[in-house]
Amino acid sequence: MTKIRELDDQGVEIPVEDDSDDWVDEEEEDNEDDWEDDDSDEEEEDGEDDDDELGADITELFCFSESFNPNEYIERIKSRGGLVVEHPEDFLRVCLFDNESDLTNEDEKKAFAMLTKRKTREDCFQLLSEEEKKYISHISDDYTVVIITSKEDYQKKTPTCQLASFLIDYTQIMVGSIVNSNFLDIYLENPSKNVDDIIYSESNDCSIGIPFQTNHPVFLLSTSEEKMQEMRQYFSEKDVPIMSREVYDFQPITLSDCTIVMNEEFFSRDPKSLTLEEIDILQFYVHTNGITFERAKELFEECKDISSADYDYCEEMLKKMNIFQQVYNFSTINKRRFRRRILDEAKSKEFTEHLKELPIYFNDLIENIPNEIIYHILPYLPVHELLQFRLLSHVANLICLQDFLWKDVCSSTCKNHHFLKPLLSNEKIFNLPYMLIYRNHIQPLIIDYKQIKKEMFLENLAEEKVFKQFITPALFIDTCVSEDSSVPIGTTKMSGEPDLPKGFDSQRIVNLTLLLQLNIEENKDSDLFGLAYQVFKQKSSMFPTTGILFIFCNSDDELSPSKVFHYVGSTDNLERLKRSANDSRFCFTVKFYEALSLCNDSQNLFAKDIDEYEKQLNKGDDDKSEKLSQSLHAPFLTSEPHKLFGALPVLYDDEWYDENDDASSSGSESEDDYEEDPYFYIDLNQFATPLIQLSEDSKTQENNILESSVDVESAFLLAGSGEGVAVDKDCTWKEIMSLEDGSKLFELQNHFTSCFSYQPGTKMYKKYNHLVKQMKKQAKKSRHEH
Amino acid sequence: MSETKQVELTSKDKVSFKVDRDVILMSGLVKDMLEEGDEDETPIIPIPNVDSKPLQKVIEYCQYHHKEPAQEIEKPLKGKIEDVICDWDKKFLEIDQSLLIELIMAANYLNIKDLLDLTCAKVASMIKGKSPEQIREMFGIENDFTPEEEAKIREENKWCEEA
Repeated sequence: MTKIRELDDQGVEIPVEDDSDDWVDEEEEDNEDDWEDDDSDEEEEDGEDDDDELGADITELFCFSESFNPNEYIERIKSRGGLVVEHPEDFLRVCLFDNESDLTNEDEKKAFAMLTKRKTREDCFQLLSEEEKKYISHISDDYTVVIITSKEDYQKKTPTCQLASFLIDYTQIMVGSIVNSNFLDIYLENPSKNVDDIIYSESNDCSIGIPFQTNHPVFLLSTSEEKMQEMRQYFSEKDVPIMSREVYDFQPITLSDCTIVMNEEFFSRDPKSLTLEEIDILQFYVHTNGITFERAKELFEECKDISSADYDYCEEMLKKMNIFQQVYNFSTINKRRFRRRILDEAKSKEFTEHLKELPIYFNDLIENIPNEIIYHILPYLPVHELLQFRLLSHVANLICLQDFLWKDVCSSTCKNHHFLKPLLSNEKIFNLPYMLIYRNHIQPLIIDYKQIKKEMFLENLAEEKVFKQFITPALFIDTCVSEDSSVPIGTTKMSGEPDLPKGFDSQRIVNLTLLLQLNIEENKDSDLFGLAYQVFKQKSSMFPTTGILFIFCNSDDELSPSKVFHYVGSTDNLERLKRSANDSRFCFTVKFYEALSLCNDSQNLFAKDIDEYEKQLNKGDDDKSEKLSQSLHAPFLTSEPHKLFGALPVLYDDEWYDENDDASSSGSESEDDYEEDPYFYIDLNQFATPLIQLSEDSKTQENNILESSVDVESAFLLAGSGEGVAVDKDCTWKEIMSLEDGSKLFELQNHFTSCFSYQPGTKMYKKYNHLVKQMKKQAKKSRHEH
Repeated sequence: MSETKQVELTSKDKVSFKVDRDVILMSGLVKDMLEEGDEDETPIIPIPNVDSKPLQKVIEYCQYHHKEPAQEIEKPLKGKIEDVICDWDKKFLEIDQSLLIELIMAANYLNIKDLLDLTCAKVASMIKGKSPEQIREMFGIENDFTPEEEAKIREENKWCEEA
């Protein structure tokens, strides 16, 4: 009751303004008292008591919009256990007032202000019957609310319709649906069906709504410029925002909020003729849905929501035209190259040749200043200004293209960024002119760093020194589906069947899936031995520089969860293993690219105040890590792809505890000593370094679509299987096969397998628990001292 | 042996400067020459490439910085040079462009790395933020590009992320 009085004080002073819309409020509140229930006790604090008093049977509330006369339905609905709300507009208004605290974003708050300016809560509340008042406080989850309206009322935006669509469709404050009168026919004629059965049924044809919420943008695909123009105009008239390339290419978006709209003719397009932009948009299909423009117009006309059938139709048609195969061949790596302006292999080669042809001797650029002085000046310029210096004259251009100048630029830039430090070693890591090293390997990571800082650093809430330490380069894997039989023996791939030496005992890999077959020679010129590898090399020397590496995994098998083999020798000795009758027909060809990665859950260690940090991080609707994946990798990815090298996550003390470790069998020590420490986090990188980590949901969605179109079998790419293999300094290779021609096969000993994000895995736990205990003791001690 | 050994430098325009030996050892060139013929009396070292005006500035620099080693200037420059150097250096650099260039040449010839870095960074700082046209004017460089050639380079340069 206090709540009402508070509003009473302020409420009267809110001026009642006229709405600008054309709806004229008809005051028909003369018979309000007729509906007052004899049961007019005060509101109870206790929800359970309320249920008893109100009658536990009532779970369905019916509101009729302005042009309806509910009288003929009241008794029939009551007999079904439902309740007709006699003052729907006021009832909905009070609901809105009472749930103001649920509104979080600016748009919602603005809409709230618009919708509530006409009447105060107090005015509305007074008009309600006692029974209605009682339902108000339970409205958010206890009842299904059905708003019965007509197309006409909905299009006219009567107050009831406006309020209902805000409460139900826009904010989900209320659970329920806006329907037409067909609903009542179905409801009253089928005593076995309750409200939910009807509104959530597949064939529900009574819903009233609009196909696009105003805060959900659309991507447009069309077959002609005229059609595109028509679509653009149509949607802007309906206040539906249109997503453009300028937006999604340079800033992350919430993909699930978007819908793709295409005209019917689009389905007859030849997939090969798709433009890059169209392919981009179709990539989003992984996380969104599509509908035809023709259907969208119909839905607007009929005041209907988009049904899953509309989406299905669109997806079906796209599959029929074989579009998805085409779309997914356009990969993350290409998107990243485009956005980071990285030159691909062919163009890099061409540019390298061009540089080689340039003269080394030429005149001085400036009279009385030898060029050697100019070479000394230029590295002090930021790179974009150094490039602009090329525009002065032919000689200036030549000066700016000299390799030793860029060597200087590269090394001074690397000094300023901790993640570039390995490039300062004497050994030249990338076999490219320094200008291209800058362009393809340095600048992209610097941009990554800025993006990570922008999304995750949160000024003042993070310790920069620690934060930096958790940003490391990793080698990401871009996959592209392919037929296993079309991939030559011994080449790099994920999934499919492995190519092992003849005579290999397949019992060694029973139940194991091939995660990665990596032909090292083949990838020498890619980023394989780039920065991520250099960091890895400092921690472990297990990674070979020749031959083929095989990584197998099986998350279900506790005893041998993974195996790693290394083959050195001629590929002639290899043959593709045939293990099962139903050969896995598909595999993934892969490409590697480097990008920065922020170690998972490291905020627990770099945040000054983790609660405050998390609070700020989760402010607003956006998923920051999803946004980060979009800006680091490709706009259609919502999580990091699979990766080699990089860093292991940080574990919470509770996660460090191994559930397989039976306290009674391993002695009393672990039982007594095990003590959860709410402040303790374990940086797994203290003792191990990752070889491979599969992304939990990378490309899961793509697989879903592919699965239905090309029948992909790929256990390791399914959702949730975030497997990984990590190594430490004790990992060694053991020879297990020796062939006549000197070729050899080795197996990796003492490595760790787990999805490290949740648990360290039994082996790592056993090996390092002792160390972790010491770390804990120390941490506790230092906390006490503080 | 006197307490402070001295060296006499003679400029291109035949002006002599007596400098403490410790001070002028900052010059790699002078250091090498002194090591070659170690004489007891004040050695006379001709600096035939440097006029008295810049030589005077060089000596001034060495006199201050032989005790107060300069901080390395980070490449690329963040902001203007004045934001990253000490007050003494700031004041020292308040000279016109022609003397600055002469000073660079002197530092280069005499092999004084910190002074060369400082003066080169100063020139870079002067170039920063200027249009190609302004830079050409600054150094009397003639534009020998056709508009097409220029456009091609601009296109090629697009890969770079603006600061």
